[in-house]
Amino acid sequence: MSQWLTLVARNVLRQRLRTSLTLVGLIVAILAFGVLQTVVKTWYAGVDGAVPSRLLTRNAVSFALPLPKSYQKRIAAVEGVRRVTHLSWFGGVYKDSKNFFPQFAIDAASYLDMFPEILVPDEVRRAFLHERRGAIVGRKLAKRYGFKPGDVIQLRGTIYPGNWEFLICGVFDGRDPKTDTSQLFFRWDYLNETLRVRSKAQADQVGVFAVDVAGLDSVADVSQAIDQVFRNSLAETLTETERAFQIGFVKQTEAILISIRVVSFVVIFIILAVMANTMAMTARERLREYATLKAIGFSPGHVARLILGESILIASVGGAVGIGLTPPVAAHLAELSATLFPTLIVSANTVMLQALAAVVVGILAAVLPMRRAARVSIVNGLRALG
Amino acid sequence: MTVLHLSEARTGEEVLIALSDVSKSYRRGAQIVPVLSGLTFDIRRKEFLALMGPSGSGKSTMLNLIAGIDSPDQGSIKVGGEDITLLPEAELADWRAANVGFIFQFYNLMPVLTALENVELPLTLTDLGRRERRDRAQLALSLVGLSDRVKHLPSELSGGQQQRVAIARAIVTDPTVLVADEPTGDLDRQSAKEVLEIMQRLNRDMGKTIVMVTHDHRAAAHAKRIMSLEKGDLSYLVEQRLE
Repeated sequence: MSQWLTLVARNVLRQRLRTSLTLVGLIVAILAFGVLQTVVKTWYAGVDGAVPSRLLTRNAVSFALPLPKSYQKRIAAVEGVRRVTHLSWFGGVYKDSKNFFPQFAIDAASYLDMFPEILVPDEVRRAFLHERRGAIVGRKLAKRYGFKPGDVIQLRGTIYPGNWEFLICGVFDGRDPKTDTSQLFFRWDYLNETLRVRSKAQADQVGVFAVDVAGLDSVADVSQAIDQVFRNSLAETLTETERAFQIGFVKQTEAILISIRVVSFVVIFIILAVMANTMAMTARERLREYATLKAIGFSPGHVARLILGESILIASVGGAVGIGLTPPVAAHLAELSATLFPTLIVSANTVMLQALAAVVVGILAAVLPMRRAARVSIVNGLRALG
Repeated sequence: MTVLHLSEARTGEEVLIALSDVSKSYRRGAQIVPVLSGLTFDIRRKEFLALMGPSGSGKSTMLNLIAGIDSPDQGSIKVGGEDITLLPEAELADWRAANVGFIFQFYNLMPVLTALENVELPLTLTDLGRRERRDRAQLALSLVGLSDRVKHLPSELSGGQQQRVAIARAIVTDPTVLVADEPTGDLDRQSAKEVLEIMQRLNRDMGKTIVMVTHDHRAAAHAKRIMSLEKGDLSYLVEQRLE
């Protein structure tokens, strides 16, 4: 066994340049596969992190259309509803349109109570509730733009006209790494009061109501009951779980996600072809050695395992390095992508997929060379050029 | 067709290898090229036989058949009484591992293994422990005068030294028969002489049966008996006694 391993290991190092180039290809492929899978998974992070007892009520026609703020009281009156809050997408531009980050107008107190994954220090919360123009920013956003408490920033409205000034009251963190800390929250009452002056038609409206349901068992009933309340009204509602809402949101970009997934598997297929070519060349060059081994008593299976061992060793090393590089590269990519990917955390599932891809590449790349080396007659193999 | 029954000619000496009515042909495109036809002859135990003949005469084919790395179209080949043409592939591989030592023209050593590891390689197919394998490989290398080259890779050895490593690898399992295909074909005169002297010693002192294919009359002269093949037939026989 040790002699076999020695032979496998030394054969791997025989054509150093070829092995190195194949390894680099493998590392890049496994890394790219891992990063692309992580991007897709991150896109679904909102779905994974959805709280099952939270419902979101939006305009039945489209979530781009608002709902009257007056609905809040009627939703709160539905049996099974524990509390209700609301949020509205602001869509402002900070200095330049390339500086994209999510901004929401919220009912500060109720929102922060209902979304405990947003960790706001007490003093920041107090300041936020006290200051009408106040805003809180996530840790990642604050780091990116250097926002500090006391700063006054200006956003140019795209949905709501005019320039809007906010006073940064503090920075919030996420309860876990998946929580998006690239967002800005400000007070809806500030938005609404200003709209009453600037754009009356947009006043007294909100984007989405978030509903906290008393028991998990009644989620479906509450959802139906809310929509029933507003049936045949001017703005009918669609109430769904947070998870369903997130899926609906993600579905809009599903074609992109499918493309990314396909590309990630194409990358693996390409490296499989490269690796198979490497192993085929290797086996062809060593046909005489394999014939010699068979002549002195080694079985075709022995010879095949020699090739398989070499292929799996290369794939394992390439896979391990690729897997090892994925978290830092993903983190760097998240930094570079600013607020597009708030976090790019490589999941255990992705690591397993990467490892599986590497092993599968190692095995499949060896299949044809193994077959050839095992089947070649000793006499013909001994005639082959070394 | 020439039929030679040497066991009858030299009574009292045990037949080790017996070829009976052996034919072999190869397919070249649509053409079938006969190489050996109806060959019958015996090789005695402890014999050192040189097979000569022009290119394409079938001498390497005959060697391959005797060594069990090729199979005849018809006829039987008995080695130590066992008809190896009846053995399935897996058993034939085991048989070769136990009974045949190969010496090739171009040595055919594993380039990534040291001299010692190359010699040890056939022993990995046995049940021997690592230490015993090493000891035996070292002994085999000392028999060919390479005790001081155990850690050298083939690329660090001369052609003659590589062929001596190959001989050590061939004898390390103590096989019944050594087959050598042009063992001096790639060597200078001095190295060839050394290799042939080792083979002679293995035959004389250790009683190894050797079948050697060669073009070289000087090499053949080291054998006890020379046979010549002409178009697949044993055309004539030269017997030579070395004292």
